[in-house]
Amino acid sequence: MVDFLTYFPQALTPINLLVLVLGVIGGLFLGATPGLSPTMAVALLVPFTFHMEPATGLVLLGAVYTATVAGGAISAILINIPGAPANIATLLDGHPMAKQGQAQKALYYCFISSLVGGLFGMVIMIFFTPPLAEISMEFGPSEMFWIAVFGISVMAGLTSGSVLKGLIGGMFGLLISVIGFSPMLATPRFVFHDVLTGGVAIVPALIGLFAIPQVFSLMETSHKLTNDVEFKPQKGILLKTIKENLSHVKALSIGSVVGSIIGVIPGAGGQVAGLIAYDQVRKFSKNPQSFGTGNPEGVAAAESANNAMVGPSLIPLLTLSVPGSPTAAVLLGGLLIHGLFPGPDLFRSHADVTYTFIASLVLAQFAMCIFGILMARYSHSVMKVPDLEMAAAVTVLAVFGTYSVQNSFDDVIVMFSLGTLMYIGRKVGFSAAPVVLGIILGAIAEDNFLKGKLIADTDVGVLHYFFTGSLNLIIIALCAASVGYSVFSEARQYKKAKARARAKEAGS
Amino acid sequence: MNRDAIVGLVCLVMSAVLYATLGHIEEPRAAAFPRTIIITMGALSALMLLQHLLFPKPQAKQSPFPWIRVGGLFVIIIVYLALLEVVGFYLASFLFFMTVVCIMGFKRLTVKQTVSWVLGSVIFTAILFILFSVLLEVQTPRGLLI
Repeated sequence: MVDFLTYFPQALTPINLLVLVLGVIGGLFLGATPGLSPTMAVALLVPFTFHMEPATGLVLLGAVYTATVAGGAISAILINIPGAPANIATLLDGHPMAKQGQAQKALYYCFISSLVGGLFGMVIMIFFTPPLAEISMEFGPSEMFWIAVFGISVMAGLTSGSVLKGLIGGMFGLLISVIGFSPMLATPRFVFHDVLTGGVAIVPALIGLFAIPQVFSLMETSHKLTNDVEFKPQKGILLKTIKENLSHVKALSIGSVVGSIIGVIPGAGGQVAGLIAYDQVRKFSKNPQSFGTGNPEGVAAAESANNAMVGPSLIPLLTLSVPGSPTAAVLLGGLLIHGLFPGPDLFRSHADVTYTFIASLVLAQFAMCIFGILMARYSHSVMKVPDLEMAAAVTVLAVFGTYSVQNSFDDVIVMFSLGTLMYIGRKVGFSAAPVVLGIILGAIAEDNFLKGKLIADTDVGVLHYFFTGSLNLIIIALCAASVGYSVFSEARQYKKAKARARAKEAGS
Repeated sequence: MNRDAIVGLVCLVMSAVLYATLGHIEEPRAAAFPRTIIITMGALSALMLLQHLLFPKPQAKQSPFPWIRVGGLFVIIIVYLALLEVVGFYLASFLFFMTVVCIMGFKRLTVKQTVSWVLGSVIFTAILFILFSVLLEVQTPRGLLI
């Protein structure tokens, strides 16, 4: 806490504040645009931060991350399409409110609740991250190897419809990470073409995997937005709404606590947080049947939860390199290109950058609320950005962002090839997040695998070294639990789908 | 065979092909980690194949794939990438932007719309130039023109 307060003023320098405000406004706009995910927005911005001071670059990424999650509620409320997966729960009551002529009130609810949840999540992050980073000091090569496997297994289970596809995607990412020269033995591997000689860098992979599939998807169907909401700006409702919103203590508390807990669990992501919080608030409500018909408590629960997730999702990222959400995985790429490696060193040698970043995330919560409220009256115009122009602009930015990192045209080719492959992969049910995590964690996994193997060969043997010791066993158990849970939920979904199909057959 | 079983089979074949290429790695220790990944990937692919052969999921009907729009964009992007180092980033990006909106949006093509697209492309390219070359001073792919 002392370190946080010491470095807080660094977040208030004119350049950091300017970047923060621009990031928040841009993030709200990107979040509100249907078809552009927060993960893609952050991935596109990573190369721009390369030309900035590390702290300023991370302030920008953090501001965009915070604002896109909240901004996604705008399209969820106004046109019933969540701008980001984290806002799925928001539309359940937000859109009915808008249809009843309360669009502006629903938007105010969204930004105020996001601020409450976001600040709660940040407090959790500030108190828990440094001690957890110290614990990670206990980790040797075998534990770090298992941590990398854990990160991929969790992300695989929770972001794909199928746990097997998620795990295969993670393995594919790990394979991409070994392309090029072996870091310890300088032997070329999988260099099928000159373009691959230097390996696959993180930024081209991030941009390709998230931006290019989105560009093709935008092209598939122009958004036929069925706008059934007539947006009439109302004057003088802000103070009344703030008072009313803050009086929903139960919804805000449940949302903030659930969001923070889900955020810490690697891979769970905001959409799960929003939906679980919404469900809990409905269960505890005296009037559960009003949910889904335009109950503001539903918006408060969903939005406080998905923004409460932002801070805690960075706890496993900053301490163990295991991101708490797909967007946090992209942020990890942002840290790595600035030479910042997660762990205790981040809070000792790079304390200035790390705490400035954390402080800026706190400020971003306030900026998001203020600019969100200011934009609320004009937000309906954001929905009118045409898909074709958006697709063309994203492609140009993706090409530039990729090229600018190393001034290499080879990177552009790698980016586009990976993006096209990912688009095909998405069509058959694969998700980009486990692949990206595989690429990012691949180096950590291999480095520690080889170090561990060297130690094991001279001592107790590979199996004994990697599969004994309390920390190893705990992390292996966590890996098994995460995969087991995903298999269990998949089996349950399969049974439900089969029962539905049988009922349909019986009905016809 | 349903779609997911085919995906499992393709991943299994890919794992086998990649495993075969491991023999070309000169230093055996450098192949240890990739070998572990490929074997795991092969095992997961075989599991997926078996899962979908033994317990096939009911497949939802899918709408026809817009081959012309997606394929058209793919070709336009390939041409854009090929032009980048010939005519330079800014001119290639201007032409790319114009081509995408005019060809893909040809159903909306009117004189007024075309003028707005040309203006939009010029403004977009100008913003890119000011942002990247003037403010950020970063290098962009250079060609014969800019």
